[in-house]
Amino acid sequence: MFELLQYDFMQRALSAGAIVGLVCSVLGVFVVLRGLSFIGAGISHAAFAGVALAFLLGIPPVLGAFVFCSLVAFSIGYASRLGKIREETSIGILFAASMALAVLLFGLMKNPNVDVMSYLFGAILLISGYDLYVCVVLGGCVLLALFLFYKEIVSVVFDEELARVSGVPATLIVYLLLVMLSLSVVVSMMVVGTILVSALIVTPAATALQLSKNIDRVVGIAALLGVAETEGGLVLSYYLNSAPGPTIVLLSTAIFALTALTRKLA
Amino acid sequence: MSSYAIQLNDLDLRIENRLVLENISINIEPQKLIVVFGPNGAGKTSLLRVLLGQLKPTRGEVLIFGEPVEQGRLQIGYVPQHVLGRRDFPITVEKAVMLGRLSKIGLFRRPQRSDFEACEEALLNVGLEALAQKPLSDLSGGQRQRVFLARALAGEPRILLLDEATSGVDAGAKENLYDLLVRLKEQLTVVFVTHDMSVVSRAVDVVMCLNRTLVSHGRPEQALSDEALACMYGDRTSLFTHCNVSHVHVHKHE
Repeated sequence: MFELLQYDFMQRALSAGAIVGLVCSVLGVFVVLRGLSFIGAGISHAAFAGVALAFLLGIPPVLGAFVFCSLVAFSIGYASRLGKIREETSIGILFAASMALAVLLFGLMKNPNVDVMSYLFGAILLISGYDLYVCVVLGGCVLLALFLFYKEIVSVVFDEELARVSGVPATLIVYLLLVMLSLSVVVSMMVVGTILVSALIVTPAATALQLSKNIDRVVGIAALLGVAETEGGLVLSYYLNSAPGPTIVLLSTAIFALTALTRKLA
Repeated sequence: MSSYAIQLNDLDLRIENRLVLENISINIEPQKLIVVFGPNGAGKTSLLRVLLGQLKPTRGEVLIFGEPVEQGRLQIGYVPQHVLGRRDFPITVEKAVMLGRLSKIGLFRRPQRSDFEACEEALLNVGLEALAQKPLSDLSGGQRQRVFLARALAGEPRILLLDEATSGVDAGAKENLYDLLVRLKEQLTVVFVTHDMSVVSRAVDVVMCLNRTLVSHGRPEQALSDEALACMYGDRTSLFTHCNVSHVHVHKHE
């Protein structure tokens, strides 16, 4: 069991997995409760276009992905607040447009030596020391913001209108949630890729929501599940010789299904 | 400091080119129970949203204890008709009530003992102190409505606005709420928007009859004249009282 810890790449993968599992699952509780799961999927696809643009412009992929994710998140948020376009309509449009743009941009590259698949499905075993550093800094930013604005976030997610009446800067908090979501997507992109990232955000949170009716406990359970599922999936993929990203997502889905079934039978 | 809790001077409100409120002027004294009646689309909820600073009047002035809405609105507690969030939101009653105190607690700070005491008192006021640690999702409709009232009270407001707060609750819960409002007006100004005329049999101080304009206002027996009811609900309506409970009666064509 401990032999896998001898490898540097595995140590980095497990560390990055723990950070990503923690950040995504904790934020995921608010994403699910606020009904932003579909936005998460939309933003994660935008990350792919951001990576393509970054390669074309010669800037760090993480920066490209973050800027593009934030742009898409803000556009969706702004359009739905104006009330002219329904949220799912703007997500549907931007979701497909982002993927189309990504494919177009990758096609424009003269010498495409980029491993497109690693961005689509993750390459956690290839994470470098620098990637891990980025994970810690960006993930830390999300966790710090969650800690500092916890009660305001709970209030806005519970009921935005009431939060506003209670003096909470509700619009600011909604946009802060969207920025945190973008950061989480960027951080998770390296672990499970842009296609599967929304599973890391939604599934552990959805499992935790079945297990408690107290928001603080739900956040705690989601954090434990997020870390355990990411680490468990990584270890499992090592022994099964399977792709880590999909293994993590399928393990998380299996735990969700098992919890739902147990709750139904109980 | 103004001697009035709420002052509306020549208020007009336009939403997407539609005149929703027109020329509303009224001064409301503190520690009164005010009931706002009006048909659907009369502008009752819009009026509350103006008081809460969520809608900006096209013309006129709104003062809360002599201050503009931007400063005065934090003295207002609000109980909505419906809470938009998920019914199964995982939160305890105490925590839901605490959310009403966020402006008092402030950013980056955790609730202190005084905040917990204020929540306890608010729950005591609505008779739900025993359910403080229960999940909100386990409560009945009437109990939930009282939690939202406690939430509004936890912010220690000087004015309490309730928007159709009895919709969807049973008759017993409605009577309890009316008793509570009568008690609360000893401490604060209560503005209660409703369709339910039976509330006027309680200790209501002022009735506002609204149908885009302020049709009438004053003591219930003055404000609820046949003319005012006709302006709100049509000329085949009248108010009658049965066993001390008032109803609007719509006459059918012969």
